[in-house]
Amino acid sequence: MNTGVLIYSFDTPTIAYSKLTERCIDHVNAHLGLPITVVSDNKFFKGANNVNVSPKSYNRRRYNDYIVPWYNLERTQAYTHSPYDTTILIDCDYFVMSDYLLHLSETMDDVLIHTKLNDITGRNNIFHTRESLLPLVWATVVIFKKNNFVSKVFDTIQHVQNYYEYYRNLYRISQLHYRNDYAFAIGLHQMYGQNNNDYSIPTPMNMIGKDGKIIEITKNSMTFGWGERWSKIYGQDVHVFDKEFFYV
Amino acid sequence: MDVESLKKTADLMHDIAVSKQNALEKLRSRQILIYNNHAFRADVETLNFVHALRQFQQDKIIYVLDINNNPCEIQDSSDFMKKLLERNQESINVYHQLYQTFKKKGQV
Repeated sequence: MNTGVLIYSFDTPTIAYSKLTERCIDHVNAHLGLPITVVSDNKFFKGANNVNVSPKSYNRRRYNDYIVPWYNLERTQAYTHSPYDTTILIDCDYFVMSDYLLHLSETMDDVLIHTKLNDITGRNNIFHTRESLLPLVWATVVIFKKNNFVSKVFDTIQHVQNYYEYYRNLYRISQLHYRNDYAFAIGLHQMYGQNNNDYSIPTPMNMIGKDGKIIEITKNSMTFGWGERWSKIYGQDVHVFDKEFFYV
Repeated sequence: MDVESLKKTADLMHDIAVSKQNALEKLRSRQILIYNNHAFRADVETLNFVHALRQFQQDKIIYVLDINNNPCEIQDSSDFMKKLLERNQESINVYHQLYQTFKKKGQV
């Protein structure tokens, strides 16, 4: 049984996700020591197993008051793209600073995904939890096994993506653009018996939201600011929204 | 009354509260113990439950629900208890060290 990390990385005209990916790979090597597979459009990442895929089409998202292109449609094929028995699928802007995910990957759970958030600025204003008729999940980190059940879960998520407009209306999701968080939430809601969240990562995902800025990041810590305030976390994995920092 | 000084103290206490909240989240993550491929919280509730089971069922197999409600058969409850205690104390020790820095800041 082998375990590895899977990362999707597609540059857009506005954001060099490849720079984030390089940083993300360094963090995974430092704290998890697992093999890494990166799915990208013909980029080569040192120290990773590189899989080339042409992204299907543009999606769009809001980023700092702009509408920007976003290649996020391939992620639903993670089950197919992953060469591992147990996969830790992470966003390239998720920075591992502990061995927590390694421990979670040793559980018997078919799928593990965050169902709660910790806004590290302490304001708890990142997402509205009542924006749809759906128990929300965050597809930033997904730990999954390869078996018949999980294969069906991913098939369902792919189906939701293909007919997203229908499901968006069914679950009364207010945001118009496609988000993997919702596709995964719907797929898991359908396949786990609707009233069951036995796929939860037991602790919330640390996140800094749209108006948060990274001041400094090392392999073990991150100093961050918001407004006139700043703080620091040590040895805690974190998902960041501020992409500009990585151009410095 | 020096209002500026009061505002500075209020700001400082806010910053400490944010750091403390994040440190507590770190403690909770560190308290997750994987045992027999199941995830458990090495918290007071689990420790007390396993301790109580061992009081009445020493040397017997015990059954405990993991975090996602999957039942886990534990053959060596002594080893399980030892690992729970170790993880609990290790995570609180890390938090204790951070807490000392909060206390120092608060005294400035």
